Amino acid sequence: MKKLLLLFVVLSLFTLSSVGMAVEKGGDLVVGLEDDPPMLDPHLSTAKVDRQVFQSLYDTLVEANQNMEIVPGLAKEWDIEQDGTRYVFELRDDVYFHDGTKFNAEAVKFNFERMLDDKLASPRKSELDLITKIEVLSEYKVAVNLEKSFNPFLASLADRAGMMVSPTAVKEMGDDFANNPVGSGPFKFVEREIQDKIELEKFADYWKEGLPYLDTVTYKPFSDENVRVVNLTNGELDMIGEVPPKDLSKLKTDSGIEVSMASGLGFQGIWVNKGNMPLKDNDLAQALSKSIDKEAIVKVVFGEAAIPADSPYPPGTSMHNEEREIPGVDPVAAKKHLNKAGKPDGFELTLMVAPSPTAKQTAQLIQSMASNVGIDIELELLEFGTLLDRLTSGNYQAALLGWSGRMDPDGNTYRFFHTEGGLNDSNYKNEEVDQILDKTREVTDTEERKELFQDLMVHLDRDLPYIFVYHPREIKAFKDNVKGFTPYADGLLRLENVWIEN
Amino acid sequence: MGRYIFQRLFMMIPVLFLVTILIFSLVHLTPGDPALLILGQEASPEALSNLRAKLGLNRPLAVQYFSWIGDVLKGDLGESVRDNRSVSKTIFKKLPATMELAVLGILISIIISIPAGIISAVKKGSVFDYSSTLIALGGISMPSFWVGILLVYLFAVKLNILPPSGYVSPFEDLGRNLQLMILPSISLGIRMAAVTMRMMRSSLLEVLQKDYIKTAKAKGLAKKVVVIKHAVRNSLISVLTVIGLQLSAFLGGAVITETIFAIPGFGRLVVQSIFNRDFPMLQGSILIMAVMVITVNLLVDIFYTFLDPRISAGGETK
Repeated sequence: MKKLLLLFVVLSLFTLSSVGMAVEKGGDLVVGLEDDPPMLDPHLSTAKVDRQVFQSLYDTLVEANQNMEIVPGLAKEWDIEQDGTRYVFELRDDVYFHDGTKFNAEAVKFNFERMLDDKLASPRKSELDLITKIEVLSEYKVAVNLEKSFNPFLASLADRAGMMVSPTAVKEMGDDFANNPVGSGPFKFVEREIQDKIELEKFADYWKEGLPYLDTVTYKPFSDENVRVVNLTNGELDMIGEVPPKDLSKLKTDSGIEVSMASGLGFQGIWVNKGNMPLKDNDLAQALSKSIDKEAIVKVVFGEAAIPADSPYPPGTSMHNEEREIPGVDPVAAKKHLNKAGKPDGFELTLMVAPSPTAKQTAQLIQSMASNVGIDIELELLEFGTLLDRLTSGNYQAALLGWSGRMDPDGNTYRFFHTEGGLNDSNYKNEEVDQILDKTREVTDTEERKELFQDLMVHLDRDLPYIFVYHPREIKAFKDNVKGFTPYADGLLRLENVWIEN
Repeated sequence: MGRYIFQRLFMMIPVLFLVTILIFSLVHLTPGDPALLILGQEASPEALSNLRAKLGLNRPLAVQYFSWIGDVLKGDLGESVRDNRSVSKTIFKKLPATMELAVLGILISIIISIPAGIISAVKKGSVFDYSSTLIALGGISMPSFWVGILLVYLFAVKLNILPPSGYVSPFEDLGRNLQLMILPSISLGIRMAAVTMRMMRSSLLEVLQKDYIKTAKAKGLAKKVVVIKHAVRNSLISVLTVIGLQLSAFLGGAVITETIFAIPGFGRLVVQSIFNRDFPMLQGSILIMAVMVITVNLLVDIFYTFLDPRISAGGETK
């Protein structure tokens, strides 16, 4: 009897859905991530993979469009006053959090104060540190005052620092908020099983008219890249967030799979410890750099998944300089530098490498290329936590590790090359560079800013605190019945416009 | 019997105490700073030291140890430094999947190894004996992750009859659960089967040489009865030891198998805790692991007494 009833229900659903199918966009999407997101609270998150889930759970005050330009988000419009030290945001009045509470100016104030609170120890604090005062001007108008003008401010509000969480939920849940996140994004949190899945469902009161289309989104972590790909081709997953370069051509020829590509925002290469011998010597660093054939590395390891790099500004971003050519491998010049440094027979170097397949392959290629000019590289494979520790404490000579990239060029430069930069693990100290970088944060004229970022390259080319090797492209793969997906340069999966066609 | 078990339970106390010291020292000797991993590279030195203070990591190691052990004795394994989740709750949520994997793996290994071992021993020198020895050697030589990848390739990619990986609780959907668990269980089971089969074969061969077997044969008992009733039972003791040891070693193998098959089990929890330097979670997990290994050994010892009553007598004259 039960079975009959079930059959009846299934059949009637089938007829109903086939009638409505022509207009109805929906579906249940299963996304394979490269890791289990460690932290679902945007104000405490440090991992890139967290941001994939945040795109569905949270909204930002301002958003980035496909060209990585700032467009309105939760803030409809804004004025920058008092020489860039005061931002006045006009907020949308039709936004609700998933717990039913209203988003307003008080919520913005609460969120900023939460991130600035020492007790929370938020990684966002460094991005917002210049905030002196947040004023609620009216129900939907808020002003943020800065200590001094800071150009990248809006760009950081398009990312985790601009993600608004529900104040009511934070107050209720306290330390447990990350396990029951409440935002205002297109999907709301249902449940999570650590290392297994994160389930979200459509938020019916989402402020963007008619969106999202999908009924549910499930994120599943697959840390082994082969397993991730097999699960996609086998039909267990609808989409994967990170495609291993070696599988790219195979996936492209798979008839049931679509591959999307966007130029990325990040860079990969070699950290050079300028505080330590041997690479403290500019000539030795130059010799290493000149011995590396970037084209060959990209061809062998990455194929279409990356392009050779020569600066922190990938093609397609505002500061990219088309006229700069990627220098080819030059063993003669490398030898000259070695002679100049008084080491004509080369030198020994230890390179730290994280144990990912592509990193290992790249490191081995660099090792053999450098040996051609007499540089004897020893590879040191380290687990990520240990590598980070050594890098931060300056206890290394060189390290192969990159940066996922930010939409504003400031996010790809200041933190690495300014003496006071939070990520200056190269121990690079150059007063002229500091002055240039400080100025890029203050000037209002775009052309002037662009020139400053090009001036910076003169110093980086000479001193080589970092050897840029390649820019990874952002590649996503999904089943061909997944429609409406647009790739973005930041590599984040925006799912509000996506639906599954039956 | 009761006294024997009590003695063995009592001996667990000093062992566990030593284990806690070992776990604590190893975990804290690992390079890598949990605060740095939580806050990210860009964190300011003040933020890092604030967080270390909040996590209690700036106290002397001895103080940290005794505060941990004090909590453990009260039954409190603490909370994750990552997300404040209760360590014991998380562990017990993750255990069932790993237990299921262990039970299925051992089951598969027993189903294959015991009959194969008996036949090889009885028909020593036959084609069956040689070929099963060859297969067993292959099984021992192949790491389980490699077998796992091959199985996925064959059954999920080429034949497309089983899902490649994932996990569904058996209480949610038993059929789906078994579909997903069969490949990981086989990849773990095959390796265990190879070792057990070799042990079964050699120990049965040894027993078959014993005088009482000759006597039984001379009495005119059927060969089947001699082998199954008299020989196999007596050769099971060493086989049981091997199975017990394998169950302990299994936890190590599960780490890799769970990663390949995306099973959200205990093994992956441990690995993730290491990567995150989630000290409370890691200490709690390894402690539970140690307790499990000790318990399995105890159970094996108790099982011995069923197979060979002389053991519980402890050499005393009855």
